Amino acid sequence: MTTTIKIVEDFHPLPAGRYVADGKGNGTTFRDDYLVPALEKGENLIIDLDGAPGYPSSFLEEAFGGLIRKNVQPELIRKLIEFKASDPGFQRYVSKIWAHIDRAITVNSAA
Amino acid sequence: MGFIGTVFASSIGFILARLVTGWFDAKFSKASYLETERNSDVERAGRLIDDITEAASNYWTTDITAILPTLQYQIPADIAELGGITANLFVDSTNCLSAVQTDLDRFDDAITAGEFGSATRSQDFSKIQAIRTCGSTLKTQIRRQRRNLPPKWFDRR
Repeated sequence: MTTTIKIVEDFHPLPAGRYVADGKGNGTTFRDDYLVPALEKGENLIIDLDGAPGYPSSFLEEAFGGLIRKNVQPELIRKLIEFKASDPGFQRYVSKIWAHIDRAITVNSAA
Repeated sequence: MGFIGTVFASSIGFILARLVTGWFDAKFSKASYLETERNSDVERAGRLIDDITEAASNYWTTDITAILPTLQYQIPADIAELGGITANLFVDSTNCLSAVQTDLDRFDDAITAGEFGSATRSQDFSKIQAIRTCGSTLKTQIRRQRRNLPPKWFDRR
């Protein structure tokens, strides 16, 4: 089964912030309410990044790097998550997300 | 060759010459226009980097209670616009785009990583130097990679 999550429509039109206290579009809520449940069910996920005004690194790091800190297996993330980013310049966010995940893996394994 | 033949051959030659010069004129005008567009994109990107640097400096040097709440949305939006400008500018060269995007990511991280957007963040003056340095490096990189782009005169499209 494949689920598509269009961030600006299914989650929040202005994704920003890291923690729940930072507002409704925060990375923690996106990770815990959208990503983790789908990954636990083994669903293939297409994350559609298009349409947002932009993505701060703090949001991306918490939402995706935070998956590693939540003990989601890196192999599972690579296997199940795909990204759609066709807005001009948005492909860059996909590379950034994978870099955040890789960095979180390094930090987690060093701890 | 008789008179009529000479006139006919001259006419054909004239028409062919007009077609060839017309084709060159059109190609030259289009290439000139595209080169000018590229230069104005570089200038636009430079101005946007200055605006983002100033907004980000204000963001990080002002207490959370005094900052405009919209700034935390405006800055990532401006960075995304900058990403769009550079992606279009360097669409013909993966190497140029990659070099620029590395510095754009550093600029982005210098501003929006860590506690950016946090409701409890405090002022962080130490970020200002990194933001300015990354902004300046990005501007230089965009200009350098612009010079590395193959001229549109030789573009086959």
